[in-house]
Amino acid sequence: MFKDLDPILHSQLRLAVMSILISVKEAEFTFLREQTNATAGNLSVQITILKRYVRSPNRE
Amino acid sequence: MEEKKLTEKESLNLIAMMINKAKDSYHDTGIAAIMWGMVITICSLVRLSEIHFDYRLPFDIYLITLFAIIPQIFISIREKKQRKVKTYDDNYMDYIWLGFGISIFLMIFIINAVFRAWEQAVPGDGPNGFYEYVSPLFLLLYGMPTFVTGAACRFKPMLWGGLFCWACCIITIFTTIKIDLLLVAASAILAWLVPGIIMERDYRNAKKELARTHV
Repeated sequence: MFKDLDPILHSQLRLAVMSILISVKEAEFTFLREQTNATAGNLSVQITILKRYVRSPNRE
Repeated sequence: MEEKKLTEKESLNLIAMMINKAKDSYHDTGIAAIMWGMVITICSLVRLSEIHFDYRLPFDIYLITLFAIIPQIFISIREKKQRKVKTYDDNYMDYIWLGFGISIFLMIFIINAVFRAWEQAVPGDGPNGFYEYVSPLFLLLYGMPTFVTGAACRFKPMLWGGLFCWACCIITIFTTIKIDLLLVAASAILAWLVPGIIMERDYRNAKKELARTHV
């Protein structure tokens, strides 16, 4: 019935970020870092990988 | 957050946990609710004392509601800047309270126009006879955004506060102006001041908790 989940979302941190972002309209980077307890560098890399799903003002 | 392959159950748990975390992440500072609760309570009680002790202040006490708009603008701007996350409900809440503010000012305008007509129709009756019937109209308006905010944010103190305003709206139709003003003050306390104090306490606790977990 449903398509398989995009393999990009199999990562724990990326899935966590996406789960937060589907429930809010927009969130600051620091908020995502606080909620996921990830390091800034790692989170930044994962958000870059999620560019298909996430719109970041810094990258526009 | 360490990287590992998640099972289906772990994935679902993680999704649920993050959605709940995001939902619980925002706490209103409650300052605006406290301020408006105090302003309306003070206005009602001062007007009550004017009537009871038969004196008049050199200005209309309700003018302080106009001056309260200035700190309200600063509070709104500061809170918007401080927010790290914006939910879909935020816009609706902003419009509901903006609509409430506009409705209050339209109501004041209408009441003043009707009062002028009343003075001509019933000369010598004085303003108190007319203002007997004004409080229910304001309580009707006070209840609406308070009830909606309480229901939408699942914040029971505000939900009950909104219902209390509506209950007082019915009661004040049958009571004297002094009781009306007491009930308006009680409504402002229960609908805004008390929920505002609870929000402010929750906000401080959430801030402390955040500081503790991110040392």
